[in-house]
Amino acid sequence: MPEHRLLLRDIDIPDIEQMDMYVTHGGYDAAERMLAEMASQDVIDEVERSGLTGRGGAWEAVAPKWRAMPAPTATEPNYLCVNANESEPGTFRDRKLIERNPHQIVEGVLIAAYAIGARTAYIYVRDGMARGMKLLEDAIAAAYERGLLGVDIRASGYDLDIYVHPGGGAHIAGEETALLEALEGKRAQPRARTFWPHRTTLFGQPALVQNVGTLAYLPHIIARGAEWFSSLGTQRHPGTCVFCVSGHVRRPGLYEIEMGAATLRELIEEYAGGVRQGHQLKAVLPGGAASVVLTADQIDVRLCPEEWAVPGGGPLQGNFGTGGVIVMDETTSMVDAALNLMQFYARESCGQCTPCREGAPWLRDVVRRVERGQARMEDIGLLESVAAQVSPLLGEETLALCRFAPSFAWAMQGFLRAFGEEFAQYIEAGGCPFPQDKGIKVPDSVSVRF
Amino acid sequence: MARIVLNGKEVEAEVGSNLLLAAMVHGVYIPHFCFHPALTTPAHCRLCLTQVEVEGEKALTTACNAAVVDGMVVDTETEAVAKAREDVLEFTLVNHALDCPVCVRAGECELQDYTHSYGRDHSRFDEEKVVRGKKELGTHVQLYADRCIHCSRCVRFCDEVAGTGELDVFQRGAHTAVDVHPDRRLDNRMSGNVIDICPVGALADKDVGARPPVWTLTGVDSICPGCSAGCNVRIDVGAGQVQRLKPRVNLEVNQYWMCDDGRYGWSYVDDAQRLPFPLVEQGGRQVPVSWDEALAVAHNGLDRIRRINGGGAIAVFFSAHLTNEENYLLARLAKEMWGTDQVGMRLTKDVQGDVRFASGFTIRAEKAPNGHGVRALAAGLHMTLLEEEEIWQAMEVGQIRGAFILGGNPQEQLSEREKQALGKLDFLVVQDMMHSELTRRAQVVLSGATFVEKDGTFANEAGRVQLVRQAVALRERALPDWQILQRLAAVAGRDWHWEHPALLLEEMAGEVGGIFAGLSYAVLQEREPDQPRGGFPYGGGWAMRVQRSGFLNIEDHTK
Repeated sequence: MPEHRLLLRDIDIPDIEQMDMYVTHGGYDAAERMLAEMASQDVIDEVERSGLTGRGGAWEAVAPKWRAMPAPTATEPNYLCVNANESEPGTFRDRKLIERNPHQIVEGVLIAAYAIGARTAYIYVRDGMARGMKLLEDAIAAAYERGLLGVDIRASGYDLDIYVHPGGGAHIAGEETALLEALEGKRAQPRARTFWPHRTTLFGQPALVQNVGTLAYLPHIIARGAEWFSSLGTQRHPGTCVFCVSGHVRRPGLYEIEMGAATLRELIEEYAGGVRQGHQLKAVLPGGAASVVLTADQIDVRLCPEEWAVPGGGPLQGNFGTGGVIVMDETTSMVDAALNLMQFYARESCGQCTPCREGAPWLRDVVRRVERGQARMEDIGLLESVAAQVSPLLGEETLALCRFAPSFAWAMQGFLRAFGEEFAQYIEAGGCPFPQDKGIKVPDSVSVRF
Repeated sequence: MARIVLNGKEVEAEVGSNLLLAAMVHGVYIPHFCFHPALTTPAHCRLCLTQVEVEGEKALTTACNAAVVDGMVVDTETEAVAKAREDVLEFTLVNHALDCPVCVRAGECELQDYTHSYGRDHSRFDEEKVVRGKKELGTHVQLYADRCIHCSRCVRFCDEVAGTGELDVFQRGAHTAVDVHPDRRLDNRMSGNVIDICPVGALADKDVGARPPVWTLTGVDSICPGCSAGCNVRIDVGAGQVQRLKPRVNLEVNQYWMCDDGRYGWSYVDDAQRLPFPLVEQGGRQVPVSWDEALAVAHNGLDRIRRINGGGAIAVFFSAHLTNEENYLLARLAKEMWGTDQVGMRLTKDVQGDVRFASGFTIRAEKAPNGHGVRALAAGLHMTLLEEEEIWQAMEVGQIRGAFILGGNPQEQLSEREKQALGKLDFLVVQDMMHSELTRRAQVVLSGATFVEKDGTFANEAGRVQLVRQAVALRERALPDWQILQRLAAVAGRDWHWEHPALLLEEMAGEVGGIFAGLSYAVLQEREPDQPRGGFPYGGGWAMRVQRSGFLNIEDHTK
């Protein structure tokens, strides 16, 4: 089955990052048409009809969020904040979208900003994407030059400035409110959700936060129409999804397929060429590090959030994640893999709220003891209990302030549920029970100073 | 008004008000660390998780950042809430140094109390703790970072209340640490408050190790004498001595705070320069004498001037450092015994003026607690307080021959002008509590008390009359100033018998009027927002209020 490329359609065209080349391939046609013919409400209507949902991992419909934005005035502006802080292990979609077709992003930002009447847009780019930032800035400069940004764009009376904001190196800055805090110049720490009322603001003004991978669809939707877009994919999640397949597969990389058009097994075996020669599939992290690990026999699930279910686990929308599929074959130690993830989470916890600040390093320490053969059998129960204490597996409730803590708590419980046996083998053997450890090597101690 | 169901009981609360506080008003206490009513609410300690239901939407949510809406159903007694508290406290203790036996906060630690009330009796944490060590943050504050539970109250205090922003949260994850910014020190004039609002022993007074443990202290409610703001304080006493001053909550005066000047400025009460007995000048030296002798010499000296030169030759200085009742007695002495209208008041003003902080908290320029009281008193008794300079001039030209000066200023200093003028006097009586340039010039020195050794009232800059209470005994033969003045009147044959300043205040309520009209001790006690309960000291500011409301049940070992 072939890919259905929208976002990735033009990424292999040489020099597509140049304005002329982008325009030659139909670039900015959508924006030009929008500026000439459409009112902002028309854009929102079109996006609503397209059924576009957010690609940042929450999979919520985009249009209602836009419609909920209050009409901006001269003194009460709206802001558009674009999330390009992609830093979940196993994800590399946004990096490619930015580096290989930056104008597609700029056009998408222009369309979304126009729709909500924002005159300022910030693109918060992960600090590691120096090249992407440069390309984005060049693309933005070219758009200004062409009169597509700045004051009174195409005599429409609409002004827009786009700023690229370099990230500070925190995974948590990708959390919606942490990103807003970071843009305000503060520590990237999520804001506590109030039970009542709930408002998303930047500098005290209404702000819309949208993933860069969501906005990249907008030029396609405006250019080819909502009906065409909604005919792709599933009813609840029209369009395509870009999967990042990494790990022990023959052809790791990005695969853009229609939503729901393939199963996870097909993605791994047909698109990514299957597990490398002579090896068998052992485990899959289907939606980035934050997802619940699947065993080899659990991958016959269709790739769309609404049908995403784990045998025995019930519907698991959050688990679909952002499409970062990490494939592990039988040479991978699950204890090593879990330790790797827990190290990541312990390091990336912002440290603000108690259960996460203390829970993530605690889990890491215990997993490390298991890995080193210094654990007791009770420690498996301890891991399970501490993780569940932070957030019970698949439960809505959490002690923590944001959704970062459930990520590691679920991941830990997922590993124990699927591979608890292997943890027990480590403990019994007093260390790695496998004859030759070909697993992902984890350094003895990862103590990173910031 | 919203009607909400709180633990099964229907109660009323204001729409949009803070749920944690609203519950507290109705007697339901929700434990918390990061919440403080005077600070913004980050909701990150997670201890106040509460079962809340609004319009069918039910969740375990933090009460500290929830606003009351009509029809809200709140439950703090469910199993889920109890488990959440237990679980959060377990996490809180993971990287908290369990050094309670040597911790200065033990006995008044919020974490200790909550763990006792809501926590587990054992820890499952068997890993290495993060060690951060200790550090001097400023002149008064020491950081024991291993005890820090990252509630960030101190950081928010410096940002929002002091407006000075010295502190911040550094690092992240388990290495998160509160610290001062590079090349800065926590030296703002409100710095001591971070110690009160710290729920644990992470921020502590530097000298606290030398003091008796907190559970041996007894607290006495009083007023800070440092300036005319009239901050409500509690004097904590241990081993018969003042050990510390802590702010009490009074939203109309000092909110939850007091400044470092007042907090650490009381050490003169135990100073070696205190006057333990009255002195009379004999042959060029001041020698200790009995009270009878000192008062007789004082009376005779002044009376002689009155007889020879007339009452107008005696100057009388009221003191803004002494209570209303004492100044009232002196006013009556001036009027009835000496018949002088040469009355004034010496007052130190900070040339910097009022020092105002971001929250509005203000350290007043007037460096005495009762200037307003003295002025109100003089006005009520139809006496005109003369400009100081007028009196010094009258001394200089020999018009004034004798003077009675009420002192009480712990930072007493004479200007050249004053020294010159006082040098022309025939006879000077000074009533004070410490040796100073002033007392050394006096023929009679009457040894009085500091604010911790007597009862009375001060009126702050806004004219609010507040109770000052005796916390410790007077040393040796010094006397409360109101008793000295009463005995001086007795020497002159007056029959003044007030058993207590309370009775003086009642007389003043009628005789003086103005801000004193209708006042009595009963009225003032009623008006104190932070009613004493058991006198057992706890934290300071917010923590103390919580304890005093009966929410933290701490046994008073001193009773």
